[in-house]
Amino acid sequence: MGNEKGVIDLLSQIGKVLIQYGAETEVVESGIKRSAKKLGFEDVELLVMPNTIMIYLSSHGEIYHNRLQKVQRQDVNFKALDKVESLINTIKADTDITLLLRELENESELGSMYPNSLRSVMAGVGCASFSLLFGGDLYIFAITFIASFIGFTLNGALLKRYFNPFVVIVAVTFTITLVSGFLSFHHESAHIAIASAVLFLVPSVAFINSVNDLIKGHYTNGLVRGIRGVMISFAIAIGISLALNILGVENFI
Amino acid sequence: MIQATFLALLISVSFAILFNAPKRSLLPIIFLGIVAVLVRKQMLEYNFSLEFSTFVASFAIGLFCIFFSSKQNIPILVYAISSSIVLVPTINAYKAMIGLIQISTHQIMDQELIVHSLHYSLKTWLVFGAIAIGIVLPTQFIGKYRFKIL
Repeated sequence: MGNEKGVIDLLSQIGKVLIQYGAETEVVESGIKRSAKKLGFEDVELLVMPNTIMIYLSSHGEIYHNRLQKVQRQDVNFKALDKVESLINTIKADTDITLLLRELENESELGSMYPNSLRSVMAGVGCASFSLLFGGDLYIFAITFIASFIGFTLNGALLKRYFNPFVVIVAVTFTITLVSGFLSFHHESAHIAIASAVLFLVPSVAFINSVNDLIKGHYTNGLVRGIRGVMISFAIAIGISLALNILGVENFI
Repeated sequence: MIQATFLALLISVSFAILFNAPKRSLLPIIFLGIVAVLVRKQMLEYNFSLEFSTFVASFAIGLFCIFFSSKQNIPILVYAISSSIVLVPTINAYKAMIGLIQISTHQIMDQELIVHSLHYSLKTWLVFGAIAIGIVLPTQFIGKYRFKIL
């Protein structure tokens, strides 16, 4: 033996990447335990907190090695999750650990996104289709497309400068509501445009992960994620109501 | 019916791309989104409540997710989140928020307004809960994910 340090570094990196890209606690735990088992370490204990992981690894029941790993940020990236899962599936007892660790630490390649222009257009198309589903007409469709396209571009630009995410959400919803409100001022279904243009900010991952964690017995993580979802919803509501106070609430019921 | 199917397709594809879902999971996500919208639409036509029909639709998503996830070896979350976006009750949430703003600014004696905004906000939270629980519940039937209360 003697490679416990490499193994524990690899395990904590796996956990960090999984938490960072939006996996639920059960997936994180089972991923780390599975890869430890494949590397020949049966005795692993874990503590997974919302932004920290603690790993205890025992070598033949004699010495316990432990490591604390902090997770810097949380966003949603399913392609990276899929890549990490398939990397875990390829681990064998004689895998080169340093190579695997380097592959996991290369975050720009691991979390490669679709091109930014495609994502902005798709945000517009998705929100605009929502407005048709709720009974808007083609004019409302066009307004929603423009508003959410602008909003998504602004969102990406602000998040790149590392502003506080809640402040970013307030600013983005404020802009979206102003744009769609001005364009649909005396239209009878103006409220549909505003309500569906902010949809790409809805914290669905936080809420679904929260219920997932609560049902599977990870109460702390579930509560924290739920509170995060509620805070994002309030940030959206604050942004919309700030803009509506400028435009006049009575015009948009 | 055709319009709803087409819109569900557009919505689920675009949100899957926003969440950066892998390319081979796009077709199952489209299928799940269409199933969810059609199930909810049919149930609303038979006069079930919005909460119950959303629950059944997201339960259907959860069941199909298990199948796709075991076939393609991708976590359940990837399918579930991208396709359950179509069920989010935005208009109710918006009406609840507007009602609360109106109450707090001037119309304090308008009891109808208070009851309306309370109704809409309750409906929003219940529908959100129905989506989340409907997706999570089917995964508890598999032995691998089962969790024992003491």
